[in-house]
Amino acid sequence: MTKHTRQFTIVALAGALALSGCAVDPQTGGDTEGDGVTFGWLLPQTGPIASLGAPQIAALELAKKDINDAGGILNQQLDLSGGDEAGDPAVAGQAVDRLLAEGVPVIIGAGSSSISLSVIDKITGSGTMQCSGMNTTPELTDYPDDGRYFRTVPSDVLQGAVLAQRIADDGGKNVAIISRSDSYATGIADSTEQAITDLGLNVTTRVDYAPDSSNLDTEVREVVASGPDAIVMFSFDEGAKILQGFLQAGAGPNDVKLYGTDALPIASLAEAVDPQNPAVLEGMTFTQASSGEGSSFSDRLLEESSDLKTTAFTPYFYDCAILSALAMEKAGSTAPDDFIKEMIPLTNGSEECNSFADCKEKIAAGDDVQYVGAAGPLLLSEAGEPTTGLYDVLVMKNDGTTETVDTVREPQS
Amino acid sequence: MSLSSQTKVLALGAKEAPSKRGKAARKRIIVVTAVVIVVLIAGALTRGTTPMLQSVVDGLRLGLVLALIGVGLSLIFSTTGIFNFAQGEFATLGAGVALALNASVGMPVIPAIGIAVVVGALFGIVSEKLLWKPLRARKVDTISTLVVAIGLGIALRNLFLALMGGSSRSYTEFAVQDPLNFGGVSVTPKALASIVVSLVALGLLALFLKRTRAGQAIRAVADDPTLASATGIATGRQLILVWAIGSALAALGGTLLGLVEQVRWDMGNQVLLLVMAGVTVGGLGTVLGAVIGSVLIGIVTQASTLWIPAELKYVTALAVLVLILLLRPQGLFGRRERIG
Repeated sequence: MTKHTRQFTIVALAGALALSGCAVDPQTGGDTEGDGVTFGWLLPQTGPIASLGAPQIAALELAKKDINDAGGILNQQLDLSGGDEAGDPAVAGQAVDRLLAEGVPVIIGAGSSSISLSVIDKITGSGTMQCSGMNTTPELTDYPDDGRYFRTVPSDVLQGAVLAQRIADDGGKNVAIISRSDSYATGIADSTEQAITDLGLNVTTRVDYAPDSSNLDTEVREVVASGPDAIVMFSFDEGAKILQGFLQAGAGPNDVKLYGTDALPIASLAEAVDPQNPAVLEGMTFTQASSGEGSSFSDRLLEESSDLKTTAFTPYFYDCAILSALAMEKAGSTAPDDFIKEMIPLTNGSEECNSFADCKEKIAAGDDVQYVGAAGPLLLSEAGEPTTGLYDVLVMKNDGTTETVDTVREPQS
Repeated sequence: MSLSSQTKVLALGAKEAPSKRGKAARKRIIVVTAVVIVVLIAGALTRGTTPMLQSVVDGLRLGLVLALIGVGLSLIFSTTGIFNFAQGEFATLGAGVALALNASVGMPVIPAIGIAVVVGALFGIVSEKLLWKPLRARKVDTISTLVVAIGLGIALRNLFLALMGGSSRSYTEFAVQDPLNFGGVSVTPKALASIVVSLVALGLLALFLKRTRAGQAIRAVADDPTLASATGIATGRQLILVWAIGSALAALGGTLLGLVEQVRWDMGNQVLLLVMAGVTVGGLGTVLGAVIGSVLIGIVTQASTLWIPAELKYVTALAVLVLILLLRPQGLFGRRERIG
């Protein structure tokens, strides 16, 4: 008797599985009218950058609300389906497999550049579109993605120019560069060095150190010995060790101007350098891709979800969702092959529009629109990435927190 | 790493073998020192005296910490035949315990380091009792034991990552210090303290091994375990002592590394390659060799950046390793293993 019951259960389970498999399949392609469109997302709910995930998901929820309030995409309601990138290519890969099986036309994410690189072949290879609001590595610019990978956040090449301009504005003349030897840091260090030279400043030395180097004494001394009045560093959390070296070699923020980027753990940096002196880095300057703090978008986002701790990268993810939806409107189809080709023109048109509702109306009227959304103008290049970007300039205060002193658009027009 | 080129003898230099071996060792010290001095003079002439001296001091500091970690590796290898790939994690353990006591409990750094060293010693004893001794009792071969050591290292490393998180941290005291200046060569007080503490610890170890009964017993076990137990030495007790000393010294090395640089979950593993290079250059199984080899590797990595890009500094250290092993397969101070 028991045996029979068990057999029945197994058969029933297998049947249920088979049925659910069938139910998913017909939605693939998704350009049938009526029953809704689903966007996938792959964002960090756990892992090393998990603190950024919740705000980014909130930004996508806000985009969904804005789209559905304006009548949805091609009269279909938008829905979201998510997966955790977890800082782990294996976990991210499984999430992507599930989203692809659901037949989503677009996957928004991942947060981390290296996770994106680990899943980009799988996503774009299946014909699905990918759009990230946080990947800044120059490595993704020329990646062979068949034109199916987009990003709304600019490559780090632009940030280098902002950094160089800031150094020149601060009166720096002799600049030393210290950089981690990896794809992110080398890319941004190259573009910064170029921009510094173009501004007529002198590069006293450039030191690239091995990422797995345990001891950085000689690197630090080489930088200080070159006699700079400004030092730029492109580091991850080993930056704290380098800064300790600078301070002990008499090149602290009181002696030279120190510059860094958002790859440093800015919020915890002062504590990592000297747990007893939060003022240790007072005056150090950082550049970061603008989080849209204080803009009407971030106000609206915080109104919707008041418990968010940061708004970092949220405008870029919001724009990914809105831009994808507009491309579908313009193409009159939710099939990736149809709407992908509308992505770039939508950011380079002649008639500016600022919200999904506004743009949708103008598209219906046959206008050549340019979507200027939460992150401002995007002007996507042929490679599918912005040719302009907004950057915050932060200065560290004496309590270890930072203050946004300037927001710069690059290139200045 | 060919087994025949390794030695299982704890040679301390001149004292115990006053005849041929002592003289030869002294001669090699002179040759090595001469070569190093020639290179350093060349460095001073081409790149200036101050940068050269600076890199020697930096290298000495790093090299002595490598020696603290490496001497344990060497002691353990010569007495038990186990090449302890988890030695780097023993160092991280010390640094991590000191950090936990210091940052979480609020204990001052110096007593925290003291406790960390004791915890290190206890951990060594526990690992001998729970792991290495049962493995020996079951006559598990060297290669399998080696794999166990690698596995232990990976397991501990990931445990540290889970407990400490992925970021680098500093002790609450002495994080940033004004350096002392000796004619252009700058040394922070904590780096100086690290050099002194390392030298004292290594000196005490040498005295212990040469002058005390327990130390002599350890050397006897290293020379020939069977003969040692036949003459009435309790081999098992000596092995517990060796694990305690080896991991306590590694823990001390880790805390000093954390003090001068920063504490990180994989800090021990980051230096393990340099530690192994130092020990192998000096001659596996010799305390004196481990110290001189490590200091040599420390100075070479730092001084090489005067000529070549900093990215390549570990390449130089490993090139020295290969070169020395080509000329002297048993390392600078190792003894050729007797076969048959």
